[in-house]
Amino acid sequence: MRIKVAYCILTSCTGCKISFLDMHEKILDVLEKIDIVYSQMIQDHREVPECDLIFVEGSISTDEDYKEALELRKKAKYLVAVGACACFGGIPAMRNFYSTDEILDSTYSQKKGRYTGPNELLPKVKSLSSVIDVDFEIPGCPPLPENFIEVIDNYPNFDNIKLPTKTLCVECDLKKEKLLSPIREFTSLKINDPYEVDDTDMCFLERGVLCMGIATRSGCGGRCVGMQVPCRGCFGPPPQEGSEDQGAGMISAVASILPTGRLIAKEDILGLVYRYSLSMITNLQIKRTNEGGNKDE
Amino acid sequence: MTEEKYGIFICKCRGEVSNYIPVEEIENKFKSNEHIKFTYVSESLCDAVERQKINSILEKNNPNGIVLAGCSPRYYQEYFREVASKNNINAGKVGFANIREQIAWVHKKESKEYLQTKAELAIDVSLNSLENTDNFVATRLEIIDDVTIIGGGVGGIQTALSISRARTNTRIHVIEKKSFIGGEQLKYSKAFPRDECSACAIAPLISELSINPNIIIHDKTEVIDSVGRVGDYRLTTRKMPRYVTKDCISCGKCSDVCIKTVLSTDGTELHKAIYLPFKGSIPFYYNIDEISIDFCKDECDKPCIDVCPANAIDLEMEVQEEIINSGIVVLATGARVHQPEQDDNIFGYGECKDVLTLHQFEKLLAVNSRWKGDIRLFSDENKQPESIAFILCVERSTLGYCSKYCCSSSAAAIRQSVEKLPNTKIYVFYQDQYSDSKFADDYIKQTKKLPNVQWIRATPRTFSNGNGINVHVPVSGGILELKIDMLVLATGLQPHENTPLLRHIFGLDASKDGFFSEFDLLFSPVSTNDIGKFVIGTASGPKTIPETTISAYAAGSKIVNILNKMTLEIPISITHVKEELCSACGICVKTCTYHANTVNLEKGVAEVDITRCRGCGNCVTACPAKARDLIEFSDKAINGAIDLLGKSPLNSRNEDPNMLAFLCNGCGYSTADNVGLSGAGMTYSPNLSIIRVPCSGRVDARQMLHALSYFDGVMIGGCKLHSCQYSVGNFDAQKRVFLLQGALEAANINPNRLKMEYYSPTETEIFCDSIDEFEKELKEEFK
Repeated sequence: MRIKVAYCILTSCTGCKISFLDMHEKILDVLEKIDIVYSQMIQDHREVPECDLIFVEGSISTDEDYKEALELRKKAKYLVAVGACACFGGIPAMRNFYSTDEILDSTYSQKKGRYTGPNELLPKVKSLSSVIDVDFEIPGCPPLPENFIEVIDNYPNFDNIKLPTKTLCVECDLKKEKLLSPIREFTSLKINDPYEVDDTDMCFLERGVLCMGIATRSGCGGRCVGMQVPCRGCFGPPPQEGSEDQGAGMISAVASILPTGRLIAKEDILGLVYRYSLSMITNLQIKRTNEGGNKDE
Repeated sequence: MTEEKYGIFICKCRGEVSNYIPVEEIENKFKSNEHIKFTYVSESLCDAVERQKINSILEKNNPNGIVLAGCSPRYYQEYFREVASKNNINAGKVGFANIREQIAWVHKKESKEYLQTKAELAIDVSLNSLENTDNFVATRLEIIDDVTIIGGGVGGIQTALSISRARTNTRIHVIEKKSFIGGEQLKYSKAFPRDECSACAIAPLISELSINPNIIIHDKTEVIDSVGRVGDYRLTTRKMPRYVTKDCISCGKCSDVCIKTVLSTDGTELHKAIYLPFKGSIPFYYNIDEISIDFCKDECDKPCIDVCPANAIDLEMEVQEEIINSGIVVLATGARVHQPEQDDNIFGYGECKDVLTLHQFEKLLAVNSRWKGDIRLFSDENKQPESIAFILCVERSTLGYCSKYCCSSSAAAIRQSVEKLPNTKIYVFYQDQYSDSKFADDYIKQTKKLPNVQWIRATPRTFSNGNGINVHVPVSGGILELKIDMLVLATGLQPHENTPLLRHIFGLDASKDGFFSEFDLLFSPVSTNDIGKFVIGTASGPKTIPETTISAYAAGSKIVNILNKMTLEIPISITHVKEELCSACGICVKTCTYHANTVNLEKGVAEVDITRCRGCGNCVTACPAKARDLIEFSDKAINGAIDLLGKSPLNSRNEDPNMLAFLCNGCGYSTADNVGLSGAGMTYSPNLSIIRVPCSGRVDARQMLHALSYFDGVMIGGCKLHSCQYSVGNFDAQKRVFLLQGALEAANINPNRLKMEYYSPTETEIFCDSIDEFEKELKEEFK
């Protein structure tokens, strides 16, 4: 009996699906085990039938997303959140700093209240798991194709899948030198953009490039850092209780190793440290807010 | 709540608490709580009779932990922890609710209901922290009864002697880089303050050192590596060959026949290739320096080997590496005399041969100098200077500190010059005069009265041509032009050139001048970040000889204290690093100012050296994976306190903004206590809640955000900059606040809702003002 699988997309870039299809010849093995009963782009089924397993990609950004998420939960025996958007809110959640009016204004240059798009934007973008129960989460922007295979292989005992507990540094081949010497000095006096530094095998933090690897769960295999691109944190925060707040953890960590004044001058700190995990930070939905700020729903 | 059951003691403090807070009602409330085994209201817990009662109550009820509601934990924390330990309660399970200083005394004017709720909340917070605090444990370390002293100068010798006098069996290694002990100053022939020969002055000490069988002198030796912890260090040393074995009887025949003469690099000494540094130097045998050995081996007929009656010369001697195990390490590595850079052209130093440093000049005056104590010109060996100018405080502003030795040392040199060259005119240009001891002032004054010596308070300019040095002195009404034959620059002390290397080997910190930094300049001036390492003498900054001796004795007594106990009990304040979470990113290594963290590359995880950890929690804050925690002030305890205080009904009591302050145990919390203690009716907003943290560096950006989700304003109160109890905690907190403020601003949240303040415990008014101001700002914000 093959597993009936649907692949659904909420507010997202569909990059995760490309990753799903990126299994090359291994997809033949996978197709032995599953029946794809619904998937835009590769199939022409209009409606999601009741099925065993639904992969859901994307964040909850509109009222439509919200309704669909509830519906999908009813239709699926098991539901797996796919990608940083579904797991932590991802890129769309970065709009949580602004009111919907501001977002529409800047995106469509429309006067307030005159947006006539199909869906109503929710005041805050949310992750899937904050709206419905999720049986398993595959993080990443995008996730690895292997992660999908693992989920299908282990269906329905997802507990057998062991996600790594350490941070990206274990998978990163870049060397640390200054970071391992206990002298209290900045690892770099200058803050650099990734393109400003030479390609070397030294840790990005020692080259003055802010790399989120220290505060990001491993499991991606160090794809970006291996290609001389600093980590941006798409695998989300490490699993320990208390470390959910990836951005604040990053702030606490880099404050003692890099010159903070230069960091603020050079980097968009907020956009960098909370790039994927903003919606998880309920703490940022602060008690009272000032004018023009984010109004709670 | 867990299964544990707790007891609560509430102290009325003879009315100081009970006049304002209805303690009985609080007692009734907690009595009914199923997790509370007993409550006890005492008239005054610090009363001797009541203290006895505590013992019997604890014996009877046998609780898992106790909370003491009363005065600030700053007063009786240690006492009650000890009482609890005697009654089988771990010290970690003793909590405090500060209802006197921070509630009763400062919020007297508030309603009874408010005070009661606030006090109950304080007890709840304390109970919560008990639940989230593991038992305190300590570890015992054996101490090897060996001490290694690096540097055989005055400081090193005095430390060795003071230890050896108190402990007859302790083995003491003195490691000296040069071929003799006592330091370079030993070559001076007449020194301040008694005008006696330095070598003679120190001779009794050196002879005591050399006859003690437990003191081992390692000459021409350097430390190249150090591993281990207090009580068990493993030092790797490298001994350069002396090329003369211990069979040498110091007859000097080798030196007589030696065909090679060597001029020392500073031009003050002329000696044979095989030589004794000076008469009576210890170790008392001859030596060949590395610079001459190639000549001796390859170009010489080696007459010395033939004449040596003891067969002591061995040119094939090799570099030896040795491992020394020792329990304690003392760094007495000294300083070096500042030499102006040639490019800087400081008074023509380096350009004109007759411009010397004071150190060079003093060595010239010594009997074993190049001209046997005669003063002659470097430019013309046959001529004696007809005029000498001394310039004091040379490059003092570049160094940034007074080096203390130069005034008196210059005075000694001037006296000798007058003695040796009675007809020579001597000018002394000075700015300031440092005379710390009762002798120094008189000594320098006497020098001023000597014939032919003229002290001028001015900074001259010098111009050298082939024929002497022209000195232009600004005086009132113009410029005085002088022609000088020799110029002596009294330059200050600088960190020894080996200090950076030693810092690296021993993992010690340096101040911004480059000297080793003391653990606490005021109260632990010889201790370092590592409890097994001490730094004495000029290694930690310019000192006079008496000061060096004092620091040597201080270190000696501290070391004897440790050695007498044989073991060292070290309280453990941090949990093990969770290996499944730590990925050795190195942030903790860089963050810890005590160098307690290292990365175990084999295992790929960080490790904490508990002997170095002081429990500030800065690394816990910095760890992005939360792979570690403090035992007291754990994450759960602090977050629980934030939740409890945040959810309290007091927060929605009125429209005024609510504030939370994280106050460091060192200064911030004491300041808040002192507001109540000052008794002047001082008060601050009742909407301020306080959480005690060990150091402001313990406050995580995560906790700041967590607190902001409940409170309108969050403040971190640390020690004043540069006076942090944990050296850098407040700097790091400041930077975290600054970064988070940047993030908040970008998120359209007023960054001023987060604030960092610096307090000194006596500045109670500043504390109240800062809270008032913060409240005003927040009111403005949420109008």
